[in-house]
Amino acid sequence: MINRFLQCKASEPARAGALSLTGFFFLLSLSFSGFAQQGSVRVEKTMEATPTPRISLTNLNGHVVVRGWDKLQIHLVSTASSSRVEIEVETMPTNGPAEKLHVDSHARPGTLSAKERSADYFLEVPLASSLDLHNLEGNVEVQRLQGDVGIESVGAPIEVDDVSGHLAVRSLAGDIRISRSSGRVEANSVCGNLYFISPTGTDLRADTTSGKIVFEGEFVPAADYQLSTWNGDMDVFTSPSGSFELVAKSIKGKVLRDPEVTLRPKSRRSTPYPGESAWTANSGKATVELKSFSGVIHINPLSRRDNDAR
Amino acid sequence: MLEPQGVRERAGEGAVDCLQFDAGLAAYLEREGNPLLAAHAEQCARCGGLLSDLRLVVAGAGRLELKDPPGTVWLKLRAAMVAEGLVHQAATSEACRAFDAAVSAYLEGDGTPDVIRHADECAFCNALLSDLQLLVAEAGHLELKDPPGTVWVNLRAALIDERLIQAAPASDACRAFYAAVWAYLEGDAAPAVVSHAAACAFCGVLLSDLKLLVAEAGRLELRDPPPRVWANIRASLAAEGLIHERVNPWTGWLRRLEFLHPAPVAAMAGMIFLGVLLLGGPRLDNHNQPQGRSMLADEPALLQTQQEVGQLERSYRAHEAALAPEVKADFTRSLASLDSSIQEAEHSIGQGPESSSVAREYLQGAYLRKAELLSSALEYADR
Repeated sequence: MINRFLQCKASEPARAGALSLTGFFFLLSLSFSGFAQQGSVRVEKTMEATPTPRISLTNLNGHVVVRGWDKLQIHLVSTASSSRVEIEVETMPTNGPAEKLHVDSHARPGTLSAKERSADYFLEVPLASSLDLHNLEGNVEVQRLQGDVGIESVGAPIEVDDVSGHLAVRSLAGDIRISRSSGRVEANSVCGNLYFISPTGTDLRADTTSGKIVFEGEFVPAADYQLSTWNGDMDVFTSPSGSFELVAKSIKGKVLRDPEVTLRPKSRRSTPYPGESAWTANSGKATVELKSFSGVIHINPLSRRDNDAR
Repeated sequence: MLEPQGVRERAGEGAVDCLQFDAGLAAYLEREGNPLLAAHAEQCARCGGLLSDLRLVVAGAGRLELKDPPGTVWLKLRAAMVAEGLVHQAATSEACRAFDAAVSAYLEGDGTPDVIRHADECAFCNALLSDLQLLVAEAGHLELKDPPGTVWVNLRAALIDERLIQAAPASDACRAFYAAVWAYLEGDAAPAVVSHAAACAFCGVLLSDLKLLVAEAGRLELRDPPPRVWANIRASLAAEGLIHERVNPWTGWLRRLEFLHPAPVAAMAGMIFLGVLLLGGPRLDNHNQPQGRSMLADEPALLQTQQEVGQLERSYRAHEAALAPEVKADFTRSLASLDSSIQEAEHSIGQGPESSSVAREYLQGAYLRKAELLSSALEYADR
C-alpha cells in the first residue's frame, strides 16, 4: 500500500489534510519542517528504512546529491525554488521502516523559467539502497552506494563515486564521470563526455556519439571493457603491468600508442580491418575493445595521466 | 640455429662452455635468464657476437607484422603431429568413422552408448570428445549474434540441395495455403489448408512446424518490452492522429504508461511495432535527408528504418515547442550530433568494404538511438 504522506507547496507550506484513494493516503506536510524563504521551500525529513530500500527520485531541474551512510535511515532535504514546484514523497509500507521511497517534483501548469522549475535534493540513504534517479536538467552526484543505481538525464552532468552495484547511467548531453565503481557499468551519452576513473568491476560498457571517452585505471583480470564513440576521441591511461587483450579500431581516425606502453601484436588467423590493431599485454587476462569511426584512440601509460594531473 | 661446424670451431676456445651456451641459447633468448650463459658470452668473443646478433634479430622480429604462414607450414605441422601420435593417421578405423558420424547427435543430447564405448577404447576419439564437450560448454556462454548474411544464403542453398525447403516458386495452391494458414492457426475453419497440407509435402511440414511453434510460444513467459517500445508506439499513434497528446507539459515526467501494461497486450504491441519498423509498413517520403536516402538506395532495410525515424522526427518537430527551452536545446544539440554521425556513416557506405561494414553496423544503432531520443523527447513534451 502506498502512503502518500506528503505534498508540500511553497504557497501553502503547512497544509495538512488527508486524501483517500485507497483509504491510506495521508497528507502530512506538518511533519516536515518546511518554511517559505524568499519564494523557496526547504523541506527536511528523516525516516527509518530497511537496510536495502529502493529509492526513486524524479526531478525537472536542480542539483541532486545522494549519499550512502551507515545508518538505517533516510535523510531527505529538498529545496524547491518557487511556489510552482510541487514535491511529492511516498513511502512504502505505511508503517515501519521504509522499503521504498518515491520522490517526485513536478511543476504546476503554466510557463515557468528553468529557475522556477528547479528543486535541489540532498539525500542520505542506507549503504545498500538501490536508486533510480531521473533529473532532466541540473547536476547529479551519487556517492557510496552498494545497491543498483540507474540515472537518467537529458543535459545534467552526472558524477558517481564508489558505487558497487550495477550502474546504468545515461545523459544525452551531459558529461558522465564515474569513479571507483566496482560493479557492472553501462554509460551512454550522445554528445556528453564519459570519464571512468579506477573502475574495478568486471564489465564496463560505454558509448557516446560525439563525446570523448577517458578511461584511467588498471584493466581487471577476466573483465570485459567495451568503449565506443563515433567521432569523439578516446584516451586510455592504463598500467603497463596490466594483463589484457586489446583491440582498437578506428576506421577514419587513428590508433596511437605511446611507446611506453609495451604491447605484443596479437597473432591472428584472420586479416584485421585496416584501422584495427590487436595487442596482448602480459598474459591477456582482461578483454578490451575500443571502437571509434573517425575519432583518435590514444593508449597511454597511467604514469602520463598522473604527470598530467600534477 | 648454430651450425655444427660453428660449435666445433668455438670448441677450441672452451668446448664445454660453448656447447652449453649453444644448448641454452634458445631458452635464454626467450627470457629464461641464465647468468652462466651471459658470463660465457662476455668471455667468448664469438659467442658474445652471436648473442648480440641474435638479440638484434629477435628485436627486429618482434616488430614484424604477424601473418598467417603458408599452407605448407600447416601440412608439415600436421605431419609432425601425426609422427608424434598427437593426431590420427589418415586412415581411421570403422569404429572411429561410426564415432564421427554419431558424435554430433550425442553432443545434442541423443543417448548413444556406442559413442561413449568407443571413446573409452580409442584415446584419440576420447580426446576429441572431451574437446568437443568443452567447446559446447564454452559456446553456451557466448553472446548470441546474428551471423553474416552469407551464412543464411549458404544455409538456404544447403536446405534446397537437401530438398528440405522449396527452391522453385510456390504453386497457386501453395500461395493460397500461405494466405489462409494464419487464420487457420488462429482457429478459423479452413479445410483447404488441411487438404493442401496433406497433398503437398513441403506445406505439410510447414504447417506442422507452425503448429509446434504456436504450441511452444503459448508456454513462453510473457515479458514487458522495454519502455522505448511504448514511447515509440505512443509517438506513432500520436503522429497518425489516433491519440491526442496533452498540451500540458511539466506536470511530471517519465510517468509510466500503466494503461497498456498487461503483458499479453504488451507483447503483441511490441511485436507489431517491431514488425512495422523492421519488416514492412508504409514507405514514407523522408524530406529531411534526401542525400542519405540516395546513399541508402541499395540498403532497403536501412532505408526503411531511416523512413520510420523520419516519421518520428516529424512528430517531434510538431511537438518540440512544448519542451522547456533548456531541454529543447539539449535535445537539439543531441539530434544534431546524431544526424552528423548518421550523415557521415551514410556517406561511408560504399567507400570500401571495411568502412561500409562498420558504417552499416553503426547506422542501425544510430537510427535506433535517434528513435529512442525522439521518443523520449515526445514523452517529455507530453508532460
